[in-house]
Amino acid sequence: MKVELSAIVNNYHYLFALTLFLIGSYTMLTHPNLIKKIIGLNIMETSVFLLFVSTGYVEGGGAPIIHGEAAVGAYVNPVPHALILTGIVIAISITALALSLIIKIYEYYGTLDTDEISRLRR
Amino acid sequence: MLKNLIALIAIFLIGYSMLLAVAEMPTFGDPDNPTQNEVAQRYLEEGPEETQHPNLVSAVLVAYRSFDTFGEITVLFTSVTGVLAVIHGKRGDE
Repeated sequence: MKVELSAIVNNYHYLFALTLFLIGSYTMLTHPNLIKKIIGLNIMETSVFLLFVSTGYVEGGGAPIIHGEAAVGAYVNPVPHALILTGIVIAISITALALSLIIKIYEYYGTLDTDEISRLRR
Repeated sequence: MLKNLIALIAIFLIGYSMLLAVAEMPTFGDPDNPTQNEVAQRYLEEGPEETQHPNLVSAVLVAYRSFDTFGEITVLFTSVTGVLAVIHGKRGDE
């Protein structure tokens, strides 16, 4: 399949989301520290939020707060913003639960290093 | 570092497949995007009269999709319950 270069250049906002996703997943895969894994997970979530909110953008459109009559194309799409607000709450919930589990892991093993923990469990 | 090398190869594979997806995406900021469908159009045109609120994001959150927001609050409540159970919880036989 041939990749159109102009399509990628026009969609460079999506490329930023892709880069953030790759940074986050590389952090999750390689760092042994559990806190850094959670930071990588949050970066991945942020990339998904960026991708979703970018799909609702209209060229030259303002924030969807209506004053006067609504002109077509003058405001960005409010639906992705509302969906991503829900997504942010879910991301915060996941982060809080994971951090509390990490507190318990640290109390039990005395370390946050996953290699160290798997060596201790052996 | 074999682990980092395997991770890098996986990252490149994921990144290349996502790059192909980005090439197929509709143009950024185009008013004729598939996301600018009749749902957003109707919210923008009828939203302020129907919900009596100028901010359409909060109108969608608390009026049109309030059951979705209710589920979101349930997720938040479950998360708080889980955090408190993990941190302060005791075994059943204690």
